[in-house]
Amino acid sequence: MRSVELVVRNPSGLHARPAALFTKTAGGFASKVTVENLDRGKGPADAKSMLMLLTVGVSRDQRIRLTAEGPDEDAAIDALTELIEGGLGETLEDAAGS
Amino acid sequence: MSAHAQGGAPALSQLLVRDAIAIDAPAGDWRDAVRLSGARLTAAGSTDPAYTDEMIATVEQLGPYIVIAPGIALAHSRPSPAVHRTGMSLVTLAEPVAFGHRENDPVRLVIGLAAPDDEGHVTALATLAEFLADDDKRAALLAATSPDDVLGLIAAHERQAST
Repeated sequence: MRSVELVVRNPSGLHARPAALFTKTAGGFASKVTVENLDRGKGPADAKSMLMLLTVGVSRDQRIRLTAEGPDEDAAIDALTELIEGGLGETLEDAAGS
Repeated sequence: MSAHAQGGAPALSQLLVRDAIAIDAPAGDWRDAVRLSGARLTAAGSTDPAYTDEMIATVEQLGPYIVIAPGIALAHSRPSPAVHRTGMSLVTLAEPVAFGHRENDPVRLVIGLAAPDDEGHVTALATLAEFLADDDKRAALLAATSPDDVLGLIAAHERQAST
């Protein structure tokens, strides 16, 4: 099992299109992947389901713990970390609400 | 317990009002389904009709990712001038329609979401997602025969979640 703590910086957080990109990427790995919202104390939730991801309600600037367990857990954590740190397809400089 | 959620954010029951709910509505295709969802947002005073067109355009441009779970679509678009205030709508369809999603078609439940910013709806949406992720609650919702049934189920869920 591998775990990492990250801050989600993109404007929408883990919602809408960024959440779709995140779940799609997580779904490409055999490992079980979960997201816990450390600020709200919600989760862990299945990172491969949009609906489950919405249950933990991750907004911009919230801290999450990403956990992967399985044969490709390292690759999963690396890819998802890169995705989140890259803004999940959104521009990190975007003003909130733009 | 108050209906207000943590941190002063509006609770689900405050954002999803009776006028925003339609039961067993007829839709011929996914565009119809999204239009129904947008019309309920407008009826509840949350949006102008232009927002409905924006929700349809979002699917046309970005694909059917709004189908967030088997049978459930979350229709929405970017924060927009056509949104007056944060609101949600809930439409069950008389007959399911396909959105073109590989795993989650066909859709029987369309949730509409209108938000003037990226933040104010997050807590209520999380509450709704928890409600829909519960198999028994989702089944009860799909069996609802009136908007009041839906409001009752949501109120019961909120009471449970806040204890």
